[in-house]
Order: sequence, then structure tokens, then C-alpha cells
Amino acid sequence: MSSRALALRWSCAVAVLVAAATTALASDPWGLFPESASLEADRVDGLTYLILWITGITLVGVQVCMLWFLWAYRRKDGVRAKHTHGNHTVEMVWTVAPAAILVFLALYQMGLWKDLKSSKPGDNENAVAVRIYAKQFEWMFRYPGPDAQFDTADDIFSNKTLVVPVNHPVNAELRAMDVIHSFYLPNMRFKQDAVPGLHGRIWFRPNKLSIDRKPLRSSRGAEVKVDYFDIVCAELCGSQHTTMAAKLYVVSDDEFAKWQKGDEVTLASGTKIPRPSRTDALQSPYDFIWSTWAMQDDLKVVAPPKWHKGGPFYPDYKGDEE
Amino acid sequence: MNAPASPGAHAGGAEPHAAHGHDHAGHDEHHEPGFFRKYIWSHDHKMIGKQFLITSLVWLFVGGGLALIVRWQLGFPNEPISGPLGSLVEALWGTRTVNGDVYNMAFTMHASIMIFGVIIPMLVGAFGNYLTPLMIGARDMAFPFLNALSYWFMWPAFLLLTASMFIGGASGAPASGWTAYPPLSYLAGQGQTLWSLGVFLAGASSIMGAVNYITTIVTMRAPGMKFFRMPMTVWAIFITSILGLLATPVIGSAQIMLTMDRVFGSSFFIPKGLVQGTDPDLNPYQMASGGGAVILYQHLFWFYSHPAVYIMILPGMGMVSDILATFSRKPIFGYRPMVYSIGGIAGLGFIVWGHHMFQAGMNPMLGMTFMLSTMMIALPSAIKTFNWLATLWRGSIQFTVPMCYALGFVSMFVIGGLSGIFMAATPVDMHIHDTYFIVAHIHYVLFGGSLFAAFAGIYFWFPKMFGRHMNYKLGYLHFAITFLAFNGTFFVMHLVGLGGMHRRTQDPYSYYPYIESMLPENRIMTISAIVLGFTQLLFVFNVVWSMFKGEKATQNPWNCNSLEWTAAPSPPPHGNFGPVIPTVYRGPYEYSSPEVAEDWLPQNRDLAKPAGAPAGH
Ligand code: HEM
Ligand SMILES: [Cu+2]
Ligand SMILES: [Cu+2]
Repeated sequence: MSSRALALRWSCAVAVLVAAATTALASDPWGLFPESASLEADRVDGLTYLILWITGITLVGVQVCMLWFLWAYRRKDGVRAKHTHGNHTVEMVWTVAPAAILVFLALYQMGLWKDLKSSKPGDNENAVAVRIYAKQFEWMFRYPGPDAQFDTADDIFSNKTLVVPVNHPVNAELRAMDVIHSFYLPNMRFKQDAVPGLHGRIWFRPNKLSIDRKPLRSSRGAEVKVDYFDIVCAELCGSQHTTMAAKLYVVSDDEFAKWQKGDEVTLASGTKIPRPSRTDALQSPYDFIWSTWAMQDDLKVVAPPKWHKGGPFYPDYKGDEE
Repeated sequence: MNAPASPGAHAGGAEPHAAHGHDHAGHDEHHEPGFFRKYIWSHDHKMIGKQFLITSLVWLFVGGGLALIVRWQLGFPNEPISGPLGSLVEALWGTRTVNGDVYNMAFTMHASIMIFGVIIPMLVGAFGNYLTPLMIGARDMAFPFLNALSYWFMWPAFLLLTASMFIGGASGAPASGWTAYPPLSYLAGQGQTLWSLGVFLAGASSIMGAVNYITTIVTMRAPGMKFFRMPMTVWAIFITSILGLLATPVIGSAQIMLTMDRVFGSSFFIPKGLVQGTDPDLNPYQMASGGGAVILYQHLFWFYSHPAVYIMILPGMGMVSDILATFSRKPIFGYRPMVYSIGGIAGLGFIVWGHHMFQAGMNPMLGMTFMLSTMMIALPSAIKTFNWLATLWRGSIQFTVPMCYALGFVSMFVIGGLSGIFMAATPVDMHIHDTYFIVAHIHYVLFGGSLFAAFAGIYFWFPKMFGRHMNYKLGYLHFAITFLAFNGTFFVMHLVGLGGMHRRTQDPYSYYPYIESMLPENRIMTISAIVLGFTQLLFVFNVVWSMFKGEKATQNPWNCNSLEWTAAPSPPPHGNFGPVIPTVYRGPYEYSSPEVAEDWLPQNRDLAKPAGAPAGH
């Protein structure tokens, strides 16, 4: 091998080692993700980087190898291609090696997936219970109130604002009222569709106060201070889907207790978190349905899709005035 | 172009009409059909293939225009679209700025048209039809009438999809994504019904095609054309057809059920207790009759649509294998493993559909199972990639335009396959599902993969189809710009996807400050996309111009081994092969064989006979 090729090879190796070392030190060394704000997020990031390394090395290997072949074996006068139909040994190698890697990856991630989606926080973990409703195009959050029971008179409601205490698991039930939505917390790497007809059990473990969120950069390069984490609707849900944002405030235990009592909570950034409301203060028919969700099976109104009002297939349906 | 003239004689091309005239003698007596029978209601597989090709190229531009509407809004949010595209959008939907309705319609119809109207008809309909009989040495498809029907069933589908965009203005158009998940699609305007029926008819067309390909390949191979002597393209079409035949009825059923829900209130997919309507005072309790399951639709949809992504890539893999071997002047490395891995992809392809539903509320245990099968489906793709690389190894590589596209295919498909592994990992998918990472993946496999393969195929078989070469200077230019602009558009999507920018969202910048910071990246993508779109005009110009003015092609300009080149003139006549069906003596990849002096050895050349003697019998 020529000395230049050797030098190249060594410098590549050193570059890879340096990169590996930086990876080991921070959970998102290349800043690929939104800032992490939950225990789960760091584990997901770690897995992503592992896959990134494996696929990245494969990718570079394949592309470099291809370019090398293209250069080395370009058509030259008088040189005839090698007549070969294959080679059993190398084919075994490149079947078994990727198979082993893929099986390893599959097994390696199972534990994390189980923790994320099948082992909900235990009773001793002081989890916060909340019920999340999604409808076109907003999020609504219901807390059980002082009696710790849902669907009772002391439940409290909060619109477009989810408030949770830091370092407590959030144990939530996810419901959709009209179409599919998806509850997405980029900072927690959390996502679960809210599906009409299903009651999803979800949880995540916020470990960072939202007031401590690092400033963002605007598209013009200015610093933007944001004191909440984003709640995103990640599943297309209609014409205003893009507007279906909500705010997640991760606050201290004290602030959370105050907020639940209905007192005003002002964050260090000056933001006043909107106060929750009590069930009995809710007026609109929507809120009525929400507060009596358990009884909805008794509602007998059968209506066609909007555009089909008064069609031949719904003789009993009088239609609503428009 | 270094395209040596065909020494056609010993290849069996200039087959004398004397011997064995009894074989299919009837074909020579066909009188020239009239315009209608020749160009419109043709039963000739070659004409039907060309019809599929031209129609899908036209639709490529409709789909592309819709994509540019989407990209415009993401790159220049809420600014009126400039230029002729802006005027067109204004004329059609009455607005130059892309509002939520127009945006949702645009990406929905973009994907639907590209998948059902471009990639499937082009790869399976056009190339499958044109190449299958020629490559296996048949005079036509097994059921020519059914074949014509399968093309003409696309037209009502096209008309329905077009009508669906306009029937109720922008707000009545299909806007539930190409996946059309209920309840959103259940509640959508009339356009959605037309969409479902259009997809149903496109599916019917696929099924008719699939039956035809399978029958043709099983029963009509030329003497000596054993299964394991078929070119990879034919293998790919064969296995693709099996996939299509088994999977397409399922999406057909799903669309009929959805339509029944929408029109007759049947509630297959609609649970009890839906509340719909944004204004509570007007419409407080719109409740469906209930009893259905939302997720059932997703299972049905993906039971088809995952195999469908392989329907869209396997023919491309087959064509690329043939082109790589031809221009490396080498046998394809590991022919049988290549065939088995296509089979493996097809088999596994039926048990991975749940990977689209990891976050959809499916039992997490079931998710784990699908994760395992999805990880395993990356394996045959890896094997194929290594075999392609090894085909290049110690070859004698000619960088023709089709070869450039074939190499581009390999290079881009690797990226798409590897990004699949991120999404197959369920915990990682939790973050990147429904983000631009998925959009990046889709486009690396479908644009960098399927469409690059289609381009390779068009440049490669154009001389056969039309008897003329395309212009290769324009071809190189087209390749270079397409390759760069493609990566400029889609690579960045991986990054914004990991950054948490979700897909199918019209104006994320106004509502999510963390996405606002990604506007510059989005602008780069939009500008690349515009370049990418306009570059394709070069290609269309090249196709149309070359059809009439291109340099005349000989029978076998690439010195290829398979029957369409060695046994049929360019373009082949009705019945393809003159009076005698060629006989096949070997596989299609005997390039640089030590048995002969040339670096190619036609499938139908009988080495027992002296060179120059009529081959094939
Ligand atoms: C190496 C093998 C592959 C693996 C492991 C893989 C894996 C996946 C996974 C897990 C998803 C779902 C992601 C999500 O929505 O969260 C996905 C989506 C998708 N894949 Fe692949 N994939 C592979 C190859 C392909 C190929 C060859 C094609 C097409 C030619 C393809 C086309 C698509 C499309 C169109 C979607 C997105 C559909 C949508 O949601 O709109 N994939 N892939
Ligand atoms: Cu939503
Ligand atoms: Cu899939």
C-alpha cells in the first residue's frame, strides 16, 4: 500500500475515534434532536446514535467502495471483465454479517420499547394522572382534582395548556373525539396517536423545568426564549391541523399544587400560566360532552357526515340549521 | 455514444423466414391495423406498454406540480406563489397563497398520483408490458384483450382522481393524505368518494395486469428459457405480480368499505361516540352510528400498501440488475441469491405492514413482532446491494446514461434502505414517525430508487421501443442536475425530521418556534425542488424529440444478451420475432465469457453452430 493511502487510512481511523469519543460524552453531540427533557428522550437518543453509527459506517463503506470500483474498473482498451458468477464464501459472509447486526439491533431495543409503551409507572412513583382529549383542532386536559377520581364534580380542565410537575411520571389517558390526532412531544421523543374509540394509556417522565429550556434560534438567527415545551399534533387531522399546538409547562411541585388549586402561577420569565377551570363552570355543549364522556353511549343522535345532511339514507335525521 | 453497430447476424436477429414457418405462421398475415386499433384500442403488448409509459410521464408532471405547491408553502410560507404555477393555482382553486385546504389537497393528490398514477403504471404497466414477452421470447401477453382493458381501466381512475380535486373546490377535494385514514376521510368532502373509486379502479387495473404477467411468464417462455435463465427484470415482474395479485384486492375492499361508510352510513371504520364539528353551538353532537374500528382501516390499507412499496421497487431492482451487468460487461454477481432475495423481500413484505402503525395504538407486543420482521426485510435488500457492488468489481464499466442512472439508483437506494432501519427501531420511530424523516425515506426509495430506475430503463430501452437513440448529451445533463437537486431536496429532510418537524403541516412556522428555526433549510429544499422539477422538462423534451429526430438505432446497440435485443429488430414488429420463436441456450448474463471472442454471448446463440449461421433452432 502506498504511503498516501496509509496516511489516509490512519487519518480516517483517528477521525472516527474522535467522533466516537464525543458521542460518548454527550447524549446528542451533533445536536440532531430538539433539546431533551425526559428520561426516555436520552435513551431514545442513545439508540438513534447507535443506529446512526452502524448505518453511517455501512453507508460510507458502500459508497466509497462503489466509487472505487467505478474508478478502478472503468472501461480500458484491451482489458476484459472478469467472468464470474459469484462466490459462495463472500456471499455467505455478507448475508450472515448484516443478519447478525440486524438481529442484534432488534433484540437490543426491545427493553426500551417495553419501558416506553408497556410498563406504566408504578403506584409508588407518585405519578400525575391526567386525561388528554384531542379534537379538531385543540388539546384539552382534564385532571381528577382533589378527590383523585376522574368524572367527578371537582375535576379541573385546562385548554391548550398542560401543566405537570418536574420529575414525576405523567400517567395519561389519551382520547380523540372526532378524528385521529397524534400526541407528540418532540422534547420527550414521545408520540402516540389519539384514536377515536380507543383509550390510550401513555406516560412520560419529564426531568427538566420548561423555564430552563435553552433559547431557540429564529430563522433570522435571533435568540428566542421559550418557557414551555411544545405539544404537537403529528397526525393530519383536517384543514387547520397545523394550528393544533399546545404548551407543556413543566413546573416545580409547589407551582403545580398552586396551579391545581386555581391560583395564578407566574413563571420567572413573567409568563402567567392560564388558570384551569372547574367542571361546573363549563358552559358549552362540548364541555358538557367531555364531562359526561362516560355516559356518551346513551346519546342517540345519529348524524351523517356534514356534506350529506338530509340525504336519502338518514330519513330520521332532521339536520341542523345552517 | 460508443454504441457499436450490431453484428446482428450471429445473434440470430436477421432470422431467415424460410425454416419452421409453420410456427405461428398466422402472425405474418396480419394486415396493418387502422389508427384506432393500432394506437388506441391496441392489443399489442408493446403499444400498451408505450401507452402506459406516455400516460405516466404526463402524470409525473401533474404530480410534480402539486409537489411544488407544497414545497412553495414550506419554503416561502404564506407568500403568493409566483410565476405561471401561481396563476394556474389561482385559476383552479381561487387562491395564490397556499391555505390549509389547498395545502392538504396538494400533498394528498401529489402522493396519490405519484403512487397510483405514475410509479406503479410506469414500472409495472409500461416496462412489465413492454419487456416481459420480448425477454422471455413470447409473441404477446397471454391475454391481450385483458391487457388492453388493464390500460383502459386506468383512464376512469385518472378522470376520477382529476375530478376529485375540483368537485367541491379546494375544501371538497381529497385532503386526508394518500393513506386516507378514517374518520378524517369519512368526514371529508365529495372528492374523497371519487378518490376511493379512482384508487379502486387503478387497483383493478393492477390485478388484470398481474394475472396476465404471471400467466405469460409461467406458460409462454421460449424453448430453453428455463426459469433460472430469465433476466432479473422478468423475475422482478413475476414476483411483483404475485404481490400485486394477493395484496391489491385488500386495498380495493378497504376503499369500498370506506365508501360504504361515507355514502350508506355502514360504519365499518367508525366507532360509537364521535363528536364532530368545530362550532359547538351549531353542531353539538354529530354522532356516527358506531360499531366500527378506526385501526381496522389501517391494517387493511397497509396490508396492501406495504407490499405495494415493493411493487414499486422490485421492477426497478430487476432493470437495474440487467443494466449494471450489461455495462459492466460481467455476469450479474450471484444470480440465484438475487432471485431468492427478491422472493425473500416479497415473502417478508407480507408480514411487516404493522411498522406503519407502531404509534397508532396497536398492542406494543404486536409492534415488537413487526419490528423484528421489518429488521429482517432489510437483509435481502442488503444482499442485493452487495451483489450489485460485486457485479461492478473487476468489470469493464461503461458510463452510459442508463448506467449512470442505474448507479444512482444503487447509491440512493442504500440511503433509503438504511434510513428504514431507524424507523424499524420502534423507540426511534416514536420520535420520527410522521416527521420529515419519513418523507426523506420515501423519496430516497421511490424517487432515488424507483424513478431513477425508470429513467435508466427509458434511456436503455428507448432504442428498442422507438428505433431511435435518445440524445445522450442532454441525458448526462439531465442525470447530473437531477442527482444533485434530488439530494439537495431530500437529504436535508432527514435532518429537519430528526429535529422534530412533522409532515403534512401547512404552516408549522407560525405555531412552533422550534420549527421556525428550520425555515432556511426548508428554503434550500424548496429551491432544489424547483430546479429538480424544471430539469424534468429537459427529459420530456428529449423523449419527444428523440422519438422523431433521434439517431437511428441498430438492433442491439448495447451488445446485450437478452432476447429483446438479440432476436427482435428495433422496434420489434407485431408478433415480435419473425416466423420462428428463438431458442434459448443459456442465461442472460454471459458477458466476457471465455467461450467466445466478443464480450457478449446472446441467450439464443447456439455455440454448436458456426458463428454467422442462423441461430435459434
Ligand atoms: C430496507 C428496507 C426498508 C425498511 C426497513 C423500511 C421501513 C419502513 C418503516 C418502518 C416505515 C414506517 C415509518 C413510519 O411511518 O413511522 C416505512 C415507511 C415507508 N416506506 Fe419503507 N422501508 C424499507 C424499504 C422501503 C422501500 C424499498 C420502499 C419503496 C419503494 C419504501 C417505501 C416506504 C413508504 C412510501 C413509506 C411511508 C408511507 C407513509 O407513511 O406515507 N420503504 N418504511
Ligand atoms: Cu390534530
Ligand atoms: Cu412499509
